[in-house]
Amino acid sequence: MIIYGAPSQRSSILPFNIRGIQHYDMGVLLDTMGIAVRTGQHCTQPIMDALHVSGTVRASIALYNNRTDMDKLAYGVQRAVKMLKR
Amino acid sequence: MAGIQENQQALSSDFSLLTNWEEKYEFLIEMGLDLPEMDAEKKVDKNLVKGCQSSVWFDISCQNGTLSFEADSDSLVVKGLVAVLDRLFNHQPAKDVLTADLSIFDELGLWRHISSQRSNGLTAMMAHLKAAAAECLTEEN
Repeated sequence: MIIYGAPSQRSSILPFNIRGIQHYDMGVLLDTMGIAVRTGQHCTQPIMDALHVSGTVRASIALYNNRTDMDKLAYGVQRAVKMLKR
Repeated sequence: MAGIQENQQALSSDFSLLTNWEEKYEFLIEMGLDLPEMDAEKKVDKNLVKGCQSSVWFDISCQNGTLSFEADSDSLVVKGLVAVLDRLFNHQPAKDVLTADLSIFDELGLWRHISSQRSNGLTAMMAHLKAAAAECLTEEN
């Protein structure tokens, strides 16, 4: 898993990719599991170019999210990786 | 060669064995992986389908009123949807492609699992095929 950004400056936004998996594929499988993430370029094409990626998956954690939501996200990502990793 | 109707029935029969969304997506991904790789030189702007969030290319040809195509996507799930279109419509008479619809995706139980953006993409792919079918018929006449 590649997590983008500077950890010391990051707030609750978590943009990531899994090597070999297209961000959109990850997004649609998480969506099917009831986990909402944003995928794509997030209207930041120059940053995507600088990172040499076509897009990222972005989990935006808010005040109403709890530990269970985080566990669901982690489990969902693992499940999607199993389905998509070839 | 089987027609669109027969292809649709065969696909429905395959999907009827799958009981949940996970199995359906896995099957769809497998179908996509079974599609032959498209040559890099065919992945050009003129073959790119507009309206899809991921990149989808269709290289379409028309011969004696029959539509044939090679297609690919950088997304495995979308490539699976492309594989469904391939099984249904590849090497079919252009006139049949022109009158076909996407109700099969309802029948396969896929439509409710496809996000609105992805269903827009699917509609865009179908529109792209239909435009090529219309052009193919015009060339024939």
